[in-house]
Amino acid sequence: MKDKERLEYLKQHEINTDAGMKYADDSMEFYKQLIHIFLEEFTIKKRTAEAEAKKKSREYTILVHGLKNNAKALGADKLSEIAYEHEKASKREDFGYIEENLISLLSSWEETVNVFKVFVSEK
Amino acid sequence: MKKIVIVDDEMMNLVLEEHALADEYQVICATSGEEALKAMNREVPDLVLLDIEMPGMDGKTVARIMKEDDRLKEVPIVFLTADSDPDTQIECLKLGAEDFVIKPFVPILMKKRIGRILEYIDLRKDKGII
Repeated sequence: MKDKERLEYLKQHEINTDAGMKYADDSMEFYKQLIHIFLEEFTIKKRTAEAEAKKKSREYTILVHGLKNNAKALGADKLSEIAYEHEKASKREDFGYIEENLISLLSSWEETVNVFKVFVSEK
Repeated sequence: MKKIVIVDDEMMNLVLEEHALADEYQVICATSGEEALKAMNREVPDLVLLDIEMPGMDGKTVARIMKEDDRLKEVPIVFLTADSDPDTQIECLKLGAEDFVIKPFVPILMKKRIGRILEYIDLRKDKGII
């Protein structure tokens, strides 16, 4: 895929590439570098999110706060919004909301990761 | 070259912040409040760019410790926050911050903003205000 096609692929999957590229200094290489970081961190952060959600800890608030920012910086606005809802729930100690919606957050996160994996793939 | 300590627990943010600043400043990265204080005690920076929400010691605590430390109390603090809530911004300023940067940020704008703050600090030093 050429870079233009890669960006088009992201747009088709509701990634706000205009925002993502803007935060990446309009550099495709830098945007890809940031996406690689997001992908590399996914497995461990997902595991941490599951564990910290059960513990109802401050770490969960910080983790979803970071996810909100990182997703937004890459243009993954939908994931960012979901993470923001979790951050707010965690701050108000609404653990019922977190329990009910944790799977939805993790699924959305995984979907975003899969879209980005295609974007950075060599094919 | 002026030295800036950037403190953020998120690798992506550190990369973004370093990308924005490294061509004009000597950037020292820290991934926690504790690490940042150690780095600043080794060498006093010209400015610190400080994330608020971090595991362990948060940015506000780092700022309070800096303000009580004779060597660090004059180091300008710029908070990094994803929170556009005015109360958070007021709190940052009450803690003695020079300014705050809302995340995510556009690198060129962040660099300009930091540049202006450093110029202003230099001007205040020249006038003997600090």
